[in-house]
Amino acid sequence: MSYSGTYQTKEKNKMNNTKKILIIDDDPNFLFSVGSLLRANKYTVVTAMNPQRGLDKLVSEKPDLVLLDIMMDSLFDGFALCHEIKTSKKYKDYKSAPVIFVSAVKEKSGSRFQFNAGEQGLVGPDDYIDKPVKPNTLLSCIEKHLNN
Amino acid sequence: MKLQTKFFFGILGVFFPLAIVVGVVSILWINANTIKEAQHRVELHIKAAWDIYEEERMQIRSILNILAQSPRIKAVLLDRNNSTNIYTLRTELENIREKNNMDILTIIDASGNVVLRSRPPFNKDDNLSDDFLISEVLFNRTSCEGDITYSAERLKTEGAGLLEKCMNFGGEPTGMLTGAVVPLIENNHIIGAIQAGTLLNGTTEVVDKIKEGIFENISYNKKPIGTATIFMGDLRISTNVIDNQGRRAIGTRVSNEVKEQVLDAGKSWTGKAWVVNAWYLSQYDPILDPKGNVIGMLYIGELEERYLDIRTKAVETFLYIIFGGMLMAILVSFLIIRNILVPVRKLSIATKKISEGDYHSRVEVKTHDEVGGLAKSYNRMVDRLEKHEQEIRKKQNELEVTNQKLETTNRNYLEMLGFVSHELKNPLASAMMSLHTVKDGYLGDINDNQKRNLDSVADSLDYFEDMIRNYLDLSRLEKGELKVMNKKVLLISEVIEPTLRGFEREIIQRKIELENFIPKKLFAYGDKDLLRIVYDNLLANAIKYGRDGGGIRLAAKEDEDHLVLSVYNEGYGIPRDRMKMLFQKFSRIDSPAFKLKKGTGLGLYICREIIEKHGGKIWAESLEGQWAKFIFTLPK
Repeated sequence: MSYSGTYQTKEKNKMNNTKKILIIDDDPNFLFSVGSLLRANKYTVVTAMNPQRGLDKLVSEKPDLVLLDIMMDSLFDGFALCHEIKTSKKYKDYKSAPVIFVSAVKEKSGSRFQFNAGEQGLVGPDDYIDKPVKPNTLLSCIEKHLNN
Repeated sequence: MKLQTKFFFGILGVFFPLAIVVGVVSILWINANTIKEAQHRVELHIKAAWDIYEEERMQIRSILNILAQSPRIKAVLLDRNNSTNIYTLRTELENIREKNNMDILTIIDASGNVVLRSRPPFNKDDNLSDDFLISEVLFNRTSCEGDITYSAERLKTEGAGLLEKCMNFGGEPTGMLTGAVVPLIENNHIIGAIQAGTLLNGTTEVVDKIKEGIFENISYNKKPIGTATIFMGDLRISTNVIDNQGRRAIGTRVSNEVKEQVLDAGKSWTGKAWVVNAWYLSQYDPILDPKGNVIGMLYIGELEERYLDIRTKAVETFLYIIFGGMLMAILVSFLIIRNILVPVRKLSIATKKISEGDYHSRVEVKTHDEVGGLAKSYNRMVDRLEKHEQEIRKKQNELEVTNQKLETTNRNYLEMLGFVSHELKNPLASAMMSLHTVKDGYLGDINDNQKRNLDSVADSLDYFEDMIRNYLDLSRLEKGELKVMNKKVLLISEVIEPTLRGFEREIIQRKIELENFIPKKLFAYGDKDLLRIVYDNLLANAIKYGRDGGGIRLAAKEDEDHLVLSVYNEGYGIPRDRMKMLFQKFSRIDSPAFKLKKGTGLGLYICREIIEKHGGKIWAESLEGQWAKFIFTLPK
């Protein structure tokens, strides 16, 4: 099997990007650099630096996809936020929007949560990207979920 | 077996045979000597019996000696026609005879003619000069005595009732008398003789005297302890042996054996004889008449049973003494041994305590013998052991404290490592995102010089990222946080494809031919996340050290109980001398080719740890300058 065929070029990405992406992260530098990349790839970008602002933006901006950092003020924030978006009646209009975790936290203190969020009674994200991430990896992941 | 028991059997082993030997010898000795002694007593007793037997005759002679001095007897002999004198004397002698229990008392003249018989019907005038005793007295003028047998005719002549008595007691018309004859001397001339005697047939006096004198009429088990018998020839004529009907056993005869030895050969017979209802130790002596002919026998017997019982009793007493003594000896030795063993037991208990780890126990033994010495040495030994033990414990405690310190330090170090690595990730993520966004031209074209510079920054950041990732993994591994969660894992879709995503760009850029020979449906048992780390590291190496335009091949095969997976790349290969250190922590390959592509020195170490945690093995094969191949196994 060769992977050369599945690699998506940036030219291809530029063709039909009119979608809106909400990035929630407490690192302004990361918000800026990802924002730059996505805007360069013709996405509309909205950002929020804490969970509450994120939820507000979700309602006001109605994004097509959410990029979410698990570890904001506390470990639980990202999960709680994702769970809220996916289950609360308040956000039922937005629950079809894919949520992708982008985080440096893979595991902490032996508890491994990126794959067993469901076991803790929480609804998990649609995908997971490990920080640091390279532009093309991020872009192809976003593309994949938007096309679904 | 306990020491005490062993000692006990040891003593028993010495004393028991000794007791048996002494017992047997003593019993044999007692046996032989009791009977011998009894026989000896019979010999003594029969001598005494003879004395009593002969006393009867002595008594008769004494009476005759007195009568021989009587002037009236001499007067009658000198004047035989004076019938008044004769009558008076006859009455007088009859009284004397009856009073002294004699059967005959007769006066004879010097020619042997009977002058006077004191027993009715007072026959006289017959001549007795052929009577051996009388003729001896008349001829020698001295008195004479002895036992003589009288024929029926003589008995008839001697007086009424004598023959009848013989017939009644024994049934033979013969009598046996014991008696004496004394000469009557006047003026140195013998004028006659006086004769007296007692018929032994049927008399009880002599035998009863013997029985009373020697055996004191004692009975043993309702049997007399001794009896006496007088035989005329082989016929019992006077006895105190009582037959089964309770009568004196007169009229019976002696056994042939005794008859031959005593009557025919004239010797004594000694031995055991069955008398009526019991065994008697007996002796038969011949009775001789004055001429030396054997006319009868004197018998005495002593009840053997009595001696046997004495013997039995002696043996019993002796055995009691021996076994009692033995028991005493055993008991005493036992007590002594127990005394000796008390300190030994104390030592044994103390030793047991020590073996259970109690070093405080000491032995208190105050004896001054070998055991006391042993106890002292033992106590000294335990002192030293205790000291030793305390030292060891102290050192152990110190060691434990040091260990804990070390562990804490290590843990702190690892936690810090993990924390720092993680905290570095976020800024790194921002930096990389910005850098690549610019470098890859998302924000507009950049010139070659700018691109080269940004590539250099990107390389540094890649290395930086590698390092952080590896240090994080290392810290988790060594903290024991990476636990293997064995599940069925689809290798391609769950492990290899997600891992490859990160390498796609570089693969394309360097025109590397990636070939995957792993079947799509192949699954392994393992931890998905950990296997991703393994593939991540192996693929990173394969790309990093692979030749531009070279091939990378992923393969899998199965043997009986393992899945064997491999990552092959064409490129620098691995120097032979580095092979061994390849999987060690911080091992880097020190060659010009590798210096350009510096690794963290942790990737392969982490791979090995993960594979070994799965129960598999990992190794490398290589042709230097041509290719390298990493192979690992996973249990099925």
